[in-house]
Amino acid sequence: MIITLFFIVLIAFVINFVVPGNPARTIAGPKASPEVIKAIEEKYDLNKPVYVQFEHYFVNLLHGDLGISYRTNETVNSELRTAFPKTMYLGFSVFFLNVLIGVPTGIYAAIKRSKFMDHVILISSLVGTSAPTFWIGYILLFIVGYKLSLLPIGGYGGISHVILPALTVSLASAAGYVRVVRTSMLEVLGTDYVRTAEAKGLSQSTVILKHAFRSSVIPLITYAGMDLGTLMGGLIVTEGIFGWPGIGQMAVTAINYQDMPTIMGVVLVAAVAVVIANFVVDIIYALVDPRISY
Amino acid sequence: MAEPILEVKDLRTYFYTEAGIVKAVNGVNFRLEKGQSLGVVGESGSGKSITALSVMGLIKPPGKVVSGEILLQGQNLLKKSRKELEKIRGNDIAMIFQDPMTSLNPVLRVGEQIAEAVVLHRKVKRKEGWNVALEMLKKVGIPEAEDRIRRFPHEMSGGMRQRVMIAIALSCNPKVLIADEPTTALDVTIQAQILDLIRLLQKDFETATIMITHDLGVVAEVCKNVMVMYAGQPVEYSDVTTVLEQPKHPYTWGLLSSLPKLNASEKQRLTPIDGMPPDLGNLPEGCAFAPRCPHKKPVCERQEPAGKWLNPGHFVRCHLYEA
Ligand SMILES: Nc1ncnc2c1ncn2[C@@H]1O[C@H](COP(=O)(O)OP(=O)(O)O)[C@@H](O)[C@H]1O
Ligand SMILES: [Mg+2]
Repeated sequence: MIITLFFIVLIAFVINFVVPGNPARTIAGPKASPEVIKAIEEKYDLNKPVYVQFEHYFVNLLHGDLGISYRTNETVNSELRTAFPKTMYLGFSVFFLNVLIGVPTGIYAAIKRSKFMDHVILISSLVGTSAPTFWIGYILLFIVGYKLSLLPIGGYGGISHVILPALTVSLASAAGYVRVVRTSMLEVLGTDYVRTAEAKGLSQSTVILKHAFRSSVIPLITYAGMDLGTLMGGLIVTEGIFGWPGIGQMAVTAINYQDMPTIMGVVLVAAVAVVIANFVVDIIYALVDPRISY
Repeated sequence: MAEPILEVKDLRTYFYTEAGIVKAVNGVNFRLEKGQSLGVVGESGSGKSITALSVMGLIKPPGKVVSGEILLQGQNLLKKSRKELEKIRGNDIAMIFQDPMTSLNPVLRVGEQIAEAVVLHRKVKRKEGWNVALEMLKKVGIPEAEDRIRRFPHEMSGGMRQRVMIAIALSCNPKVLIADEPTTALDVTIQAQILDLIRLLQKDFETATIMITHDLGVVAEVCKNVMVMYAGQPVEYSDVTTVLEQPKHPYTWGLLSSLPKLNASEKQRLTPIDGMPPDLGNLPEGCAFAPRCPHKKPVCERQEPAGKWLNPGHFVRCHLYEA
């Protein structure tokens, strides 16, 4: 895990350096004198060689210190502390919607295999996956938020605020859930043990929910785990559209200002979140599937 | 003759595939009396499993039961609604499948898989269902049943899992038990144990049994009557002794000569029937067995034999005995 982190930091660092532009100049503003810029470079170590900067950063990181934002002069730690929970809140809402939309739709498509509704669902899910997140976001924003005025068009808040941004991310990723659930359900529905369950006289709903779905949960968990990275990306774009003050918006602002410590902080937190979530996925596996033990 | 528990009349089950209509079951008739056991034999692909699944009402598209009657104590199962069938499956008719390794749900405890049928049909509490499950595990000879009941299928051997399947099937004391090649997937020593168990429980529970197998040896051990199937049809039907000692159909002769004999010398070779079973999607004109039959006459390739009762208990479908 430490090694994973090390490489994430390294890659993020390198990317920051190959991007053109001088952070000191950006911080100081276009009219600043060379002396001011020099002072700023001193303050933030920008005049040192890359590897020194990297070492410096990594040592601080091991102490849990992500540095100070060039833009706001606040510690990145404290900014992340307010922003990250908001992203988590949005993220969990998305996950909740994914399950709520994806699982029943996938099961329904599997039962209606090759019938009209199955085709409708498959085509919609294809559209869902291929449509860009920002496009879905603006359409929802325009129709539901602006034209119909049903929900707030942006900002942070309770359920009414979270629905639109969560739906924006979810429409794309729930489509993936639908297809995974459908495929694994079709596979499970053809197994011998589902036939055994039917031979016992269990009702169709018991056969599907108790016997078939339980086994097809495992591919779904795998998929949800693999989808986490994409989900993170979707969150960042969507936060920008809806003015959701999470780490996504933080990152967008930071990139505009070449605020390197903040960019690095966001990248790290996002990466760590994905790594931890994957770890949780492994634990859930063992809980769901008795054949797996660690 | 006594009232039959189960009577199947002219059952036909077809699969509507892209390549054409596959006539998997093509006019099957049999009757089963209380506590009686019927063996169904035939090569792989002769429609034994599909016959069983048709009786269970478990045929899925593209398959369809196209005609016939399945009378359980006089009531035609083909006329029942799905809800009515659910009350009968697992309760009045139960089935054991061929492969115990894949027939149990891998993510549910063995106890739950037995208990759920009991809870459903007996309308008892879950705890009582588990008590019955424990009792059943003991009856099917699973050692340390108190411990095994909480286990998952993958923690058990094939033989143990087939015992669990038997426990599930018998847990609601069905009137009819269908065992579809219950020992084919098991080791030879385990096979004998499972057969003994089925025979014992069949007496105990007074369950009428349909024993599907491609092994006439199994039939000889377990069954009272035998139906020999070929290409979706019964070609010979009689009591075990008659079929084994005075078989009339050339296909039965072939099956018998491919059976290893206990008193035969070690070197005596098995003589399997030449040729392959016909394509059920494209049956030949006339008798389906004619292309492989060493005794065929010109009429066999023109006209399907109608079948004939040689005496009240012995049916044969062959031109050698027609007219
Ligand atoms: N799902 C299916 N689709 C098409 N044909 C099928 C299907 N299932 C079974 N059949 C046909 O039914 C025939 C009989 O199958 P089965 O009853 O399983 O034979 P067995 O006597 O070995 O149990 C097979 O040879 C096959 O041609
Ligand atoms: Mg079979």
